Amino acid sequence: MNERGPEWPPPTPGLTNFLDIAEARDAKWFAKRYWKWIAASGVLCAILGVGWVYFFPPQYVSKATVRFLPPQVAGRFVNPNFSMEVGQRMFALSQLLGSRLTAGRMIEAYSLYPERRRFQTVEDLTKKFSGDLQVVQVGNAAADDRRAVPTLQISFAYPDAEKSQKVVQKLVEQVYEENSKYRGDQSLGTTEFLEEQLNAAEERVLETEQRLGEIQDAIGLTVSQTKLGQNTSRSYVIDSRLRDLRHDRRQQEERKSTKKAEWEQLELLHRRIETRPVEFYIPEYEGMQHYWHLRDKVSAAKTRLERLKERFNPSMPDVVSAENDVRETELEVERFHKERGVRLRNRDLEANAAKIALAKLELQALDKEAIEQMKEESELRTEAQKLREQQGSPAGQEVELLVAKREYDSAKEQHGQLFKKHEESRAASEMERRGQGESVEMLEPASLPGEAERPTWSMRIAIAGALGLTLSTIWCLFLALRDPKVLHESHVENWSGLPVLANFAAAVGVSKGVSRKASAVASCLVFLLLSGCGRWNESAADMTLKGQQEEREGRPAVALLLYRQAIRKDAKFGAAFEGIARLALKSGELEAARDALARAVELSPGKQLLLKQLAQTSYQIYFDDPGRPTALLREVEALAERLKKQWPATPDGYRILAQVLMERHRTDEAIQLLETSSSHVKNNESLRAQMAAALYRTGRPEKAQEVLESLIEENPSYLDAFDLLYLQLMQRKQSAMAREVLEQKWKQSGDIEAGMQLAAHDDAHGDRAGATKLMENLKLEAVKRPLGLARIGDFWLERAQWDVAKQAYEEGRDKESGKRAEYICRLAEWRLAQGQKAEARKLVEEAHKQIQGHPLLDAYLAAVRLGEVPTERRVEERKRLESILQRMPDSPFVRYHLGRAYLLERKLQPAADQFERAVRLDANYAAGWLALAEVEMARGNVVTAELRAETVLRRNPGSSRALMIQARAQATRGKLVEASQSLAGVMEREPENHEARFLMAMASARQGKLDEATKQLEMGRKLQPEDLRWPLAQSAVLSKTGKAGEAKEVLEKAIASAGAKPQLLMQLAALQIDLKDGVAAARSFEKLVAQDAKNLEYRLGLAGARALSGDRAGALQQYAELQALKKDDPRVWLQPAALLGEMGRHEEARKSYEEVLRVAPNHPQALNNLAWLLLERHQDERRALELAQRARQAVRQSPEVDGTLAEAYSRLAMHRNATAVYEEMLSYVAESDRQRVERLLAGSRKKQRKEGNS
Amino acid sequence: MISRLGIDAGIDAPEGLSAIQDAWDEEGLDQRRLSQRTRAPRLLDMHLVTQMKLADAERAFSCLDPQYPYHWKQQVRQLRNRLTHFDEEVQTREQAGVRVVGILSMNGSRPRKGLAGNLAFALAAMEDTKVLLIDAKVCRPDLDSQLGLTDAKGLCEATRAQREDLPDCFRRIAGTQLYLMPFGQNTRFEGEGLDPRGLQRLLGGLRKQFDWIVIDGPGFDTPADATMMTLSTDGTLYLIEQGVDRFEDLRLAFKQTQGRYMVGAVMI
Repeated sequence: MNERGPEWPPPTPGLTNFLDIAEARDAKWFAKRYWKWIAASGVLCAILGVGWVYFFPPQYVSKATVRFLPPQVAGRFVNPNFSMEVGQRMFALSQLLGSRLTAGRMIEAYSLYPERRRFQTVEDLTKKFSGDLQVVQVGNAAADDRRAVPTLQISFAYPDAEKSQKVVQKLVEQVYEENSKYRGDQSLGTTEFLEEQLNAAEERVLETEQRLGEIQDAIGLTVSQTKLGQNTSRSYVIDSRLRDLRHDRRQQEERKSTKKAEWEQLELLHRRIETRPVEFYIPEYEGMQHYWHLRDKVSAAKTRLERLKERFNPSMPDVVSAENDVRETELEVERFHKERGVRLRNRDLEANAAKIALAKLELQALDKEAIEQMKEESELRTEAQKLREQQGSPAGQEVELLVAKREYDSAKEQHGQLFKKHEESRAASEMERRGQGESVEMLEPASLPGEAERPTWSMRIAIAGALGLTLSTIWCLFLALRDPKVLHESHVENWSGLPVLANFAAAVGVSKGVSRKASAVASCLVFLLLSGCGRWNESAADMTLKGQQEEREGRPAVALLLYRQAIRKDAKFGAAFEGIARLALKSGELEAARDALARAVELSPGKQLLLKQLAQTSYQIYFDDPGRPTALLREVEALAERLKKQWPATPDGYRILAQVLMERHRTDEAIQLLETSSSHVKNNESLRAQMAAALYRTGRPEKAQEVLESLIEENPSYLDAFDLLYLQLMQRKQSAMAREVLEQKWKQSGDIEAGMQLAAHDDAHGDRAGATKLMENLKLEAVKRPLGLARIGDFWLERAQWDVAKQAYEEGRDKESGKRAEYICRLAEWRLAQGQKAEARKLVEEAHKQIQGHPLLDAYLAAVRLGEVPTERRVEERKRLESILQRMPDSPFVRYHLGRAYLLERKLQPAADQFERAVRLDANYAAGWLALAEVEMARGNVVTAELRAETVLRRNPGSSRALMIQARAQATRGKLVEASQSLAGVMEREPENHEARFLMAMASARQGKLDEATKQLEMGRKLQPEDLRWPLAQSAVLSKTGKAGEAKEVLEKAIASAGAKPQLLMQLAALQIDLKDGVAAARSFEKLVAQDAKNLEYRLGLAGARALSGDRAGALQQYAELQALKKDDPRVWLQPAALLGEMGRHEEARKSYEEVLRVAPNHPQALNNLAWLLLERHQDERRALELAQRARQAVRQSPEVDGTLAEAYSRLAMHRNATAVYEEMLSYVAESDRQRVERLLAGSRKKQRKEGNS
Repeated sequence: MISRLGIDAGIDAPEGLSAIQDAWDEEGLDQRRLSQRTRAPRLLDMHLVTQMKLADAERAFSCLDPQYPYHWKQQVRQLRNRLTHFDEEVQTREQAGVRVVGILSMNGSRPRKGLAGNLAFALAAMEDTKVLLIDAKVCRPDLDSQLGLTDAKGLCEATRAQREDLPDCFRRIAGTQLYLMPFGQNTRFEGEGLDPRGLQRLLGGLRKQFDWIVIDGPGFDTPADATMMTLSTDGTLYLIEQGVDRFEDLRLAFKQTQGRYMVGAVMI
């Protein structure tokens, strides 16, 4: 023992090596030591298992299956008025079934989840309900089987089997109801839409008719005009006939060439028959017997002769006679054969001659037909030419008349089509209304489940108990082995080898009570837990009161915290939810507000205001969502119904319900509702205004106007009526009347806003002087109001009237000392709008020094710094803005600039969120709308961007930025004419707007108006000589128009004035290459390489240019250098490959192409070129075909690739494939290539025929 | 140590100092001799030791209590037998030269079931065996209270005492060969009662006069005392409290006694 080794003392036994010294009695000790803890944990977990069973009881799943039957009226008679596929509709239905509205209703109706409802609101339980509900599409969900009937399986899991069944039953009923409702709404909506379209088309027809009449009246319809019309129609006929003739001729040519080939064949055959020997023919069947008879005779004669020769001397007369017989019979056979052969040959010749004659005749007929057609074609061409000459320059209004006639015809045609569609739609609506549309059938009713889902309650408790035992055992083992104790003498002896000389502790157990320290700690913990860490003595009501106090004192963040704590204290404290909703509404967070309001309404069902706010907020969310979620609309409808039912004497329920009905295209029902509401709510303005809106929607604008006018007369202080009337009149293009309404509103209210509205109207309608005068009058009033002058300044700032705006702001700053910060901020805004960022920052910084702690100034400072600071410091400024937002959550300005900050960090989604909130807080915040539109543009949502820009244009029709965004969106969508109009609007207001001019030029170029584009670009170039995009665009346009020389000149001038900029040089070089001026291009590229020697583009360009200039060796050397530098770039291999091919160094070219394919295995150009090279060299045609096929997979509709492929097919005698490829090529190749492809096609067809014949 | 001041430093020493230096040299007080003198064993005049009755000292020997478990009595006897070459499993006293046994536990403040006293009593029960029990539990000495002594001299005093003062530090149980030495008054020496050099000198003398010296030592939780004790004894007996002492404690204890003889372990 005392002879100790080097590792003395031995390492302490632990988790890993305790087993080396362990004995069975250790387990006994462990059980004795820890059994209480383990058992207690097991029991505790079993108790938790009971809780699990109680709160999450085993569930019974009830299932039902419904299927959708097609309409009872066949689709060929009545087309269902429905845009969505069955699958989509089923998806929409399943969404609706899983929606919060349905969930809330079901929970309420069947008192679901009673245990949880003690602690949670129904709103909180909707998620749980949605989780328990499963709506699955069966039948056609998996495959594209069109015969499958769309089927929906609804299943719901709930601890109570009966309730589960009831819920499923109710949901099935809802499917029935919603299907018909949904289809009905859609159908009615379609009909209504078509009706609107039809009315518009009718108006257009009437308009064009009127215009036509006016023109005819103006010029008087004479013979010449009538003739002109006739000529035009004759031109159409001729054009059409010429097209037909061309088509016929093509076919005829084809037939002719076929026939000619046939004739040639026949001639050849004829010659062959003529030279054919008679022996070729074997006598026909009729002569066959005689022939064989003669042959038999010959054989018999020969046999007789031989016999006689054997017996007698050859000079015997009998032998001689026999020999003569043989000779005669043979001669007879020969004669017969010859006679027959000649006859058969003659017959063949005759038959062939007939065929040749027929072919000749046919050819002659075809020739004749072709001559006739050519004659007709030439006549028609002459006539068309004449007509064109006559129509060439119709004088004065004749052209206008023609245009009007065409417009009229088109309008009439459109009207006719719409009328037909409308009638069909009405029929479909009628079908839906009668319930003969698509219906729902129950396949399996809701089942009553007899067995609960596993694990059952006993299993759950057992699982929980076992889990507790296991976990606690593991934990206790960990505790025991983490720092083990010496339990008996064997431990000492086995571990250390030290002999145990005596053992006083044998059979003595160790028991330890809970120490005082441990109990003290436990008590403290329990106390802390019970006390709730500090706020244990405060009730939810106290906290809510405190929160309200904080809210009043302008500390919304603290208030929100207190409300949340109150909810944590009492999850069913309505006032706290109310407070949260209020704060969320204030900061424009509609979703959060809706959530809080839903809970507040549930907890305080008697508060009408809350319910109204919930309905309105939900409706606003619905309206803001471009997808218009139907489930949300249903929710609003339910809320409105509840409002109406619970408070029938208040107008809100009726109004919101009418809005919903209108949104569901049931405007008539909305009107009916509003009419009935008058018996409950007397003379309510909002209801009457709603009525006017509904009437206008149903196409009764006069009636709507009447209602609004009477409303204004009776209650002139209700200003919304003025606005509605104004909008309706503007939509009806009654601008003068609309102005009167605004004027009346202004006089009535005396409000500065109303006056500004009128001024905006005047300004938008071109009366800037009137608007200015009006604003001057308003200024006198504005001086008396807080921030009145700021509004005046804002008005002019939006219209880019910098001086007037500045004057108003400065006046305000001097007069309103209390609002100095606000005015300074506006002045900064004024500077920013003009791009004077540094001055704006300076201004705000100075003000910030003078006025400390003003949140708006802080925000402005951060905002102006945002655009100034370097990229890495933008995050700091953004964080500053975020902290300011905490202080000013309801400021659209802060949100706007925070959005800008996100935008600068390229975080589009958060930026869009902030902009959206900014405009929610202030719907007139133009900057927010425009930023939103720009974000949408950046995200590629062009339509949404256009809509956002239109929102600004509705308020300020002259907004240049909005017009620019609109124009950009329109141009992206291909609406180039509209884009040009919008841009013209901008340029009219701002002739110096270069961006607009540039966009205009680009739009003109895209429309094919290249001269106009060139003109605009030339002007732009003169105005902004330093901007390179003008010469670049101008040269591109000129080059497109074929004026490459002029384009080159433009670029050379730009280089002379602006210096050798890379973009200019690059474009010039490209142009020089187009002009095949390799030497000049090489010079340009040399300059570029001198600027940036490492640029691969430049060096490749230089090599290409050298090759073009004839210095092929130099080019190849350059390529070799690049290949050494960038061997993984396919371009460095591809270009020299083409050059080597041209130089006839095919093997090297091939190697280069192989290199390209090594780097980029699917490079279409390399694949095609290599394939062609192989075909050209007659090498490995199979590989060539494979390469061409791969190239075709990569590039579709390329004449080069398809040509190679067809050639490869042809080489491999796959003529049918080659023909197919050529036929496809004909569908897309340019006119110039057409003839070549047709020739190739004819050749391929010929080969195909030959192949068929052989 | 006295150095040759001035000379070593290359400075001329004053007359007085050089005279003392010369005196030292003359007497030949070299380092070796000085060491021999200071480590010279001190003998006990055993006949001068105060005797006391066994009845008065019963508390120091729990095995005398009728309630003392029989099983424990057996264990004490077994321990004695194994220590006194009765059991061949254990190395004999002569082989190991064990005469002074230190009993050390892992924690000096925990009770030891009177093991040292009982062992000493059992050893003394053998014929012609003089046994000395020393209470060296530095933190928690208890022998004096068990013997009913107050302010008695003991080990602390003995490590510094002259021969004539030594008997006062001992007690003898009348009619037996069992001598006892309580811990003494540690406070007299400002907490540094035990003089390690004195202890070695003391045990050097006592080893010749006693057959067995059983030292009820401190715990390994006071490493300085424990090390001093293990260095002074011929072997160490480890007291291990079953289910209480950790392997880690044991490992540390082994580490502290590394290089010394380990007699064995006793489980309590």
